[in-house]
Amino acid sequence: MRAADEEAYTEYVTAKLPELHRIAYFLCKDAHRADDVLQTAITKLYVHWHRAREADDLDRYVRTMLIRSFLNEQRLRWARVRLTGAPHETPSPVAMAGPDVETRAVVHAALERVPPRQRAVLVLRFLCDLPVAEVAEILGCSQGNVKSQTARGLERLRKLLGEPIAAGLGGRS
Amino acid sequence: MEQQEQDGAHLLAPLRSVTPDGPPGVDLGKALRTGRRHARIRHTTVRAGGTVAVVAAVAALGLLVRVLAPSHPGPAAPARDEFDVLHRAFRVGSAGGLTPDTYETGRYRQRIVLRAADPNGGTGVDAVVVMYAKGRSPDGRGASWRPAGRPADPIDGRRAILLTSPVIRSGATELAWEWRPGAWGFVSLKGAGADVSHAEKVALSVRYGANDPVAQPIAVPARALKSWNRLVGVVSSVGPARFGRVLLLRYAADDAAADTTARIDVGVRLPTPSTDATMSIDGKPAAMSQGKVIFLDGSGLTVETGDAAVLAGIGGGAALRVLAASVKLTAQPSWPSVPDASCPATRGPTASHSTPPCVTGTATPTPGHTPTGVVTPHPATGH
Repeated sequence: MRAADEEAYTEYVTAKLPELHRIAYFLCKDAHRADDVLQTAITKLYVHWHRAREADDLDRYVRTMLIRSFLNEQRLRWARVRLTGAPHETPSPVAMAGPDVETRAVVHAALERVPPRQRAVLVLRFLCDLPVAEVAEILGCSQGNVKSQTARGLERLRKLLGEPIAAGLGGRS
Repeated sequence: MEQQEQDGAHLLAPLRSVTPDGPPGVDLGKALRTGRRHARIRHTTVRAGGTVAVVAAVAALGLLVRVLAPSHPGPAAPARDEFDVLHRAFRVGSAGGLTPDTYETGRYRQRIVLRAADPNGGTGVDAVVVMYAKGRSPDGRGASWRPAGRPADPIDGRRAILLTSPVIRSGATELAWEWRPGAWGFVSLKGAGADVSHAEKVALSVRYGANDPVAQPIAVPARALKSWNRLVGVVSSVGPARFGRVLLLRYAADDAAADTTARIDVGVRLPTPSTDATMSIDGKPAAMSQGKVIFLDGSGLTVETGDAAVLAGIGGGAALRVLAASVKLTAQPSWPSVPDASCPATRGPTASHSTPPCVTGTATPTPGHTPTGVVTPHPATGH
């Protein structure tokens, strides 16, 4: 890669790192794993930088890389080893402020227990505000599949939260 | 769908303002080092692969192109005597106080809309030139169709008929001529002062045999267009900037539907209307009304369904938004550089022109008509 390309890559990644880190953080069960997934994604991005720059939408291309890195990591046996020993119910550390600290922690812990692909759909649709069509492209599936994964993911999330909390958040009971 | 949106938004609302604790723990320098190493390995592997790898890659690429082809819907291949949707087969000059505004390609007919050449209003007359392929006709009867009317002076040596009843636009003065054996062209004139002499001048300004490619700098996924996924025409501006700029890829179920409202237009309209944004699509301000979406971010990107049935067919307003979000400009549209006045009568068409040239010596602009200041609608685009 030429120096100018490396410079463009570095500039792009530096600018996008907070946004990508946030997505990885919601997808992964802990901050360390989020960093690993993000590290893998930006390394792949370097290798495929020329192709990525020619993509119609570079941001979408990179998000796709991140999501696929996450899903690939989930498929590995290593991903099922819990290094920290923390129970499922223990919320991950979150930058918390304001009166809803507990609610955020509970929702985040519940989201961590939603199956990976459904979690990816929920994060992309409702935390990254991406339309169904774009989520379908990123995940390489149909829009119908995204909608059904969304429905199942929300159902799972509602169950994990419990009806009182879900109802309090305004989710359909 | 709406319920699902609301449900998800409510349940995950507490996390929307959450940011990870501390900066990301990734190492950009490590990514660069590892990336360089992987890139070197890839490069070496590709070179070592030799001819077999190249052949395999070419085969795979061919397969990939075939697989991906439906995501960039194209036109049907033209048969003998039909037009190519991706090329303009004619050039029309300024004549009779009129100058070309838009050109619409099509497989069975090609259509050019002309408006007053005079920036101050012109004659108040507008014209539509429709050139049919051999064996095609306005009423769909095809080769058996014959114009009804009285003989007019030949156009370029071909027989011409002043129609008794208009066939292109109701209430218009229309002239038909057999521009080649079995193929008819029409000039349809409307407005005060529209007469056969105007029609003849416009007809004489039509030049055959051009093969000017049309740009299509817009990508739209085929699946989002549902049944209306065949490119049946391209409407593009060919006139002065004061007419506004339009570039629309016209999609329909088949080429015969190009002249109906059963279609979806995807493209660019400039300037954008002075209206308030009613929504945000992909983070860009947009307005949606009557089955049409236009982005108000300066791009002028628009998606327009032809009628309510098409809108319902693609899945309603929500699907239209998704479709609009999926449309991408792959290049900036380029517009013809046309002087904002009638062209001099001395320039003739040349093969290298990418825009319709000015009128040839066979027809001349006719200045002196009373300026009316009336801006005529766009009959070709239907808007």
